[in-house]
Amino acid sequence: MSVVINQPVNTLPVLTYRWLKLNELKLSEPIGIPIKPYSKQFVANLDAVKQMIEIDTGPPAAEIQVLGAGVSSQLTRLSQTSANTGIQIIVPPNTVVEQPLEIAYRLDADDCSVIDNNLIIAEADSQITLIFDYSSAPDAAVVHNGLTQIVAKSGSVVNIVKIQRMQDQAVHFDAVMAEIEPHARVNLIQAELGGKLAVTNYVTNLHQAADTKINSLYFGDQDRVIDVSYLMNHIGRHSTSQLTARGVLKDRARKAFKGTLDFKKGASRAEGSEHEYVLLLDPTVKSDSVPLLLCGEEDVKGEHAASCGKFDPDQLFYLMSRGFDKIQATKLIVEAVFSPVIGEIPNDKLQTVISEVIQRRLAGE
Amino acid sequence: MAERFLVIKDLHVNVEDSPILKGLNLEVGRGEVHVIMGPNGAGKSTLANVLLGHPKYEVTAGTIEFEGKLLNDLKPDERAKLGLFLSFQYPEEIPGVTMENFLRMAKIAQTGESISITKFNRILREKMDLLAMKPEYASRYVNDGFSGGEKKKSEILQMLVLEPKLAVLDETDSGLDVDAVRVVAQGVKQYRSSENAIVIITHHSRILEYIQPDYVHFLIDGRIAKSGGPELIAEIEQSGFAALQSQSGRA
Amino acid sequence: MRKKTQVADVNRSLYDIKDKFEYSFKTDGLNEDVIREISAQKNEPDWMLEFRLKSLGIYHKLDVPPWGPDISGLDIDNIITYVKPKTDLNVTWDDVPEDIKNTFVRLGIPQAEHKYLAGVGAQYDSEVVYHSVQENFRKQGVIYLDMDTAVKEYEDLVRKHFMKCVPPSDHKFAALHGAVWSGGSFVYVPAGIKVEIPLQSYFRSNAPGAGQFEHTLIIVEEGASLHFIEGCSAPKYSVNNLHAGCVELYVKEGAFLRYSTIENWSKNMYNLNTKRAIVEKNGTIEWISGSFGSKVSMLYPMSILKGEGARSDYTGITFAGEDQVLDTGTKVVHAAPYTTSNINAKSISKSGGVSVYRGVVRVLPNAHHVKSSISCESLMLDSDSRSDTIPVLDINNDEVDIGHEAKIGRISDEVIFYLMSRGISEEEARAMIVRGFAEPIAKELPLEYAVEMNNLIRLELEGTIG
Ligand SMILES: Nc1ncnc2c1ncn2[C@@H]1O[C@H](COP(=O)(O)OP(=O)(O)O)[C@@H](O)[C@H]1O
Ligand SMILES: [Mg+2]
Repeated sequence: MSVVINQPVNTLPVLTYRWLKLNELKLSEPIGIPIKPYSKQFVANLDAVKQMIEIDTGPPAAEIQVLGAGVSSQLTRLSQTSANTGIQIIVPPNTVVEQPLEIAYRLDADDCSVIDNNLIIAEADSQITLIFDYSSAPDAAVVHNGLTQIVAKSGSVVNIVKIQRMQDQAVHFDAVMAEIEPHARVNLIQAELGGKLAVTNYVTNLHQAADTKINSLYFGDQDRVIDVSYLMNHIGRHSTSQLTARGVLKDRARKAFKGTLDFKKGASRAEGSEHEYVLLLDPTVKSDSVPLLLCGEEDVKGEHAASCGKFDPDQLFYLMSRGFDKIQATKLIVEAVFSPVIGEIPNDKLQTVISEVIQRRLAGE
Repeated sequence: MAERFLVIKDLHVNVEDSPILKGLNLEVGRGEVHVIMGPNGAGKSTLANVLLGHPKYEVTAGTIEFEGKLLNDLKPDERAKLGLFLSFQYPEEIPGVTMENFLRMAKIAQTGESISITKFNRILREKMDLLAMKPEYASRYVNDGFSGGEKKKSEILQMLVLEPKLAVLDETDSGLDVDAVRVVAQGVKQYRSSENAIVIITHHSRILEYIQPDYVHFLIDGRIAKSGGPELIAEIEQSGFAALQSQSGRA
Repeated sequence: MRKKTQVADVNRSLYDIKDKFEYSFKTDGLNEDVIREISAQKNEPDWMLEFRLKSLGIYHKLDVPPWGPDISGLDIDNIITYVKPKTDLNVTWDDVPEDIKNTFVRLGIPQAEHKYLAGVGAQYDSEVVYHSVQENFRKQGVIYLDMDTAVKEYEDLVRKHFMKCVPPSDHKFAALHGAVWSGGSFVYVPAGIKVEIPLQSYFRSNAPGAGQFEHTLIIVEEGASLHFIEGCSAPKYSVNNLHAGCVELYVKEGAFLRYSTIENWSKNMYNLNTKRAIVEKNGTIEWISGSFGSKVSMLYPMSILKGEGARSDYTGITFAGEDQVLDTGTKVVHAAPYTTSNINAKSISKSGGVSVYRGVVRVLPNAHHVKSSISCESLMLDSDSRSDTIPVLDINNDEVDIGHEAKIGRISDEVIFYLMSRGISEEEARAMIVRGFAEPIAKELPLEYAVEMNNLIRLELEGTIG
């Protein structure tokens, strides 16, 4: 059995001019997602954490209310009804799980679709880190569609790392939704490095003194289409959010970055910031940014900044004067763009893997 | 005492519910120059801000009197009109408002008398010359894009124009090069008279080479830990605050 | 206890004086007969009638945009499409009927003409009632006419440019404009001529329930320069009015055009205006835009930088008060290499007003060495109001230098303290800060307009609320 995906994805929270064609991303062709079981082991270190938390593999038994449409209501529904994998976690109160839980999916000709539905509930003052790693076998036309719901109860900390490094034939849809209760924090690191189409959507409700930090990294090469969307709903007083996105675009890659800070009435003393840095390496790339600031409360601070261009000629000159050729210098500069984010990933092996993927793609291999 | 100019008694001040000043006593007489020194975070700027009535600083006990008048419940503009002035450690920037307009409005607000644009302009130019400030500063926006040194000069300019009775200079000499310190010090000397008083908060003795203080106080952990004459400056240059700090840690 | 800023609503009493609704001819509604009637009244060439009918067809095909403010309160089909005032075009104020003249005198137009303008056009409802330009500029070949006259006297020039920059197919209200346009100004500045003092057209809408659809067409030839000022106002009626004007600007090689607008329509006006400039090699368009009035505004002056080295500067302020939704911003298309754009947008929201910055900077694939800098700043004066920033960057070349910054916030308590410590009262301090916020725009306006703008942002401050 297979489901056909045809609805537009990543619709903006507030629409703007139609001629820009940025209000939503229309799929260039319908995408079929086969529905069949996923066969491999996917939690690498289950035994290490099993004693501390309640964990079940497989999609959650009960549905919880979604915070938004996700990538699209059609895709979110698909994960809710037809998931072939997933995990459910409850971290008991005051429990601090030091070791990151590693979840890795490898898609290939046999396991050509991953539809995961994950639910993470962090009880009061608990802490947990999860790493999701999606990769695929060369030349395999595969699809991933994911839904990860997080409930961070008061004072808890949830760290999520999502690495997508699939091959050029892959399609990736991923929605993360976080309800962040008072004084809780959710940190998200997201790296979009592969696939022909990569669409991600993060939405969060921030309650009183809740905080979210997002580090987003993308690398676009070949004909990749990247569409990333973030929506921070500041609901509670003193809630805070910081989003930093860093990207490099090369060849004919196209990217749309959609980041929205929404200060609801009553969210006094809330502060939110959004920064995007894009490095453009070829004249044939396309870089779209839609940083929205929506505000219904007087006593807030919101800012966003975006910069976009080739690298600084002074920087390049400096490096070349030290004997680097242009390609080496480019590698160095790209590494400098990404390294602050990569350095935050709590897994040395993955750090190396990501650096290698980027260097390989930069070299056009 | 015959003349009660500024009298601070047993002042307790909280910032965001944590106590910063913890029973501070200080008297400043007309015509006097006082210097307050103390380690970072001791509460010097807190004292300066609370003198002008910053709403964030909460007086939990004690009194501040100026010329016999209780200041505790007065708003900042009312205190300014009584003749108090603060040269801010970190002056605010006000885009879109020119120095000249701002100072003229402030002058009118304080004196209650209107002053013609030309007459005011003349006074302003005169004071700016004194501080070696280029005339174009008059038409620039208040502190907007000023360097650290320019901001400090702008504070002294405001003092000279507004002619307060009591001026508190919060680290006005910090971050200035040698020449700028001299210019600022000249401004202060020009202002000094037997009719007014100056409280200089500083970390450096350089400015005190130009302006002889009458009294020196060490402010440590929210209290005046030691007071004396100018000779205290040499003492602190030699041994630092550490020794005093351990003494004041007693109660 | 938190202190609240009290900034007064825009003082509109001056603009609100209504004249008696008198006219020599009017049309209600929108259909082919109405269009033929308008065209016949104007005694237009046939091509213009055809153009109007074609536009009407397009109007019926297009839908209202699914984005932006709610305009469902607007009943276009029943709007009065054409109101001919009870006078013809005049060349001296003395010939303008007393009540209409008084209206313009109250708005200061004849006085301004006398003091610092090179020419003035005054439109009352659908038709221009006064037009004149200084003799020395006329001698240099500068044409400044009402649009209806220009269609006849400069038919070829008009036909070549009319709605070529903003085609009727652009959006529903552009199509509506194409069908029922009336009045407006035509300006032609010959090559090399620098018009050093500004020209001004003032648009006054008096008729209740009417639409105003003036068309402004400006051609600034090679190396020439011009400052054009547009003013608009209307008294407030209980029925809704519509303004769907169109401004087309052609800035030729090395030419300079500054287009300033102080818009102060009444709060029953739907201001759905379209403004666009095409800028050739090394030409410059500067938009200065103050939006204070209207119930709903959708206004995004657009610059198409068509020639190498062309530049667009946009400086805008929007002040949305009670019952207002002011959706404004700018669109820039970098269509050639070495083009530059600067955007400096500010907004103030109070008493339930909604201000929106909506804009786009698009860099086309062939446009290398493009520079663009965008800054949006919003000030919220209370929590009943809204402020949204909706910018888009659409970059299709790598050889670019694009910077975007947006900030939203309130008046800082520290700055208030600083000013108060200098003896300035809290109320005055807040007023100073708000005026300072608007100053970068005021600075760009001729003094008289800056004064008008400061009056519009009348700052009347109250005490403290708990
Ligand atoms: N506005 C403020 N908000 C929060 N804390 C403050 C504020 N002002 C001062 N403090 C705190 O009060 C203490 C004293 O600061 P300050 O008076 O600035 O010291 P000094 O000027 O002697 O270096 C410090 O611990 C400082 O962090
Ligand atoms: Mg200090």
